Amino acid sequence: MAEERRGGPGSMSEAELVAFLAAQPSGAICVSGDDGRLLAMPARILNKDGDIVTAEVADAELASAFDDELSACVVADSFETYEAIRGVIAQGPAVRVAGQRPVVALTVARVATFSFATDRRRSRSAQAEPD
Amino acid sequence: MTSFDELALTDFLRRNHRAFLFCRDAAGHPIGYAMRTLTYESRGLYFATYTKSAKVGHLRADPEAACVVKSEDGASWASVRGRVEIYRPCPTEIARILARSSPEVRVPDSVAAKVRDRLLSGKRSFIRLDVEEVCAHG
Repeated sequence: MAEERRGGPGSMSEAELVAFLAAQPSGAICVSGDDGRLLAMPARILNKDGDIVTAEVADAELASAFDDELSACVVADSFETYEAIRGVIAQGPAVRVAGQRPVVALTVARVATFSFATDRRRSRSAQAEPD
Repeated sequence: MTSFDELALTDFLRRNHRAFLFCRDAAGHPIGYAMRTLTYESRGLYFATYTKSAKVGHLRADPEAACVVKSEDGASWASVRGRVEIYRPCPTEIARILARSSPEVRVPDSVAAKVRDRLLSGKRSFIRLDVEEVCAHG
């Protein structure tokens, strides 16, 4: 098995994650479609309530990919300054929410966060690099 | 393929570098990464990444990928997909691709230099997404 990288960006605390999501960060969502292929589209996280992340996708036509519940992943980040880069990656089944807006609800099966404010080794002298 | 012609696609992908690259994890589920593209040429979208990163492992196991590239304000975007190749570039290619990459004022010079050095040493590799399809754009 290949050795994985041990350094790199750290993660957000729970409080940092709450604050990050409150800003409704933008990113993208990807679904493994009925045809077995990956389909990605822009998305903005609206909120996280328990294990449910809701995100609005940029294109109503593309949102039809979520008419049936399918495996998906949403990623959102912010990049105000290099040192303040942070983001979230959430995976799980997702389905379109009934309504006029193209909103998708993803039930979080796995979530990871990243933050350049700290790196995994907690070394204050080392500057985190992009993955 | 949508009506985004090759010239418009090339122009967009060379000017915008905020990207979200998706592949499949070991369980076959979609997983994504916030990335910065380097450039786009000859239908290839270039990234630099750690050779030992998790995404490299996933992409080597299954090279199918989808990617959203957005303008910084999010108003313009393109959704593309294809297959990736991960490789250690030669110094000439590193210089050529990095020279084509738009300067990112938010990235400190020290970090940009470290990225270049680690490409040269092999700690970093290029990911080249060969764009087979433009799924949508806005």
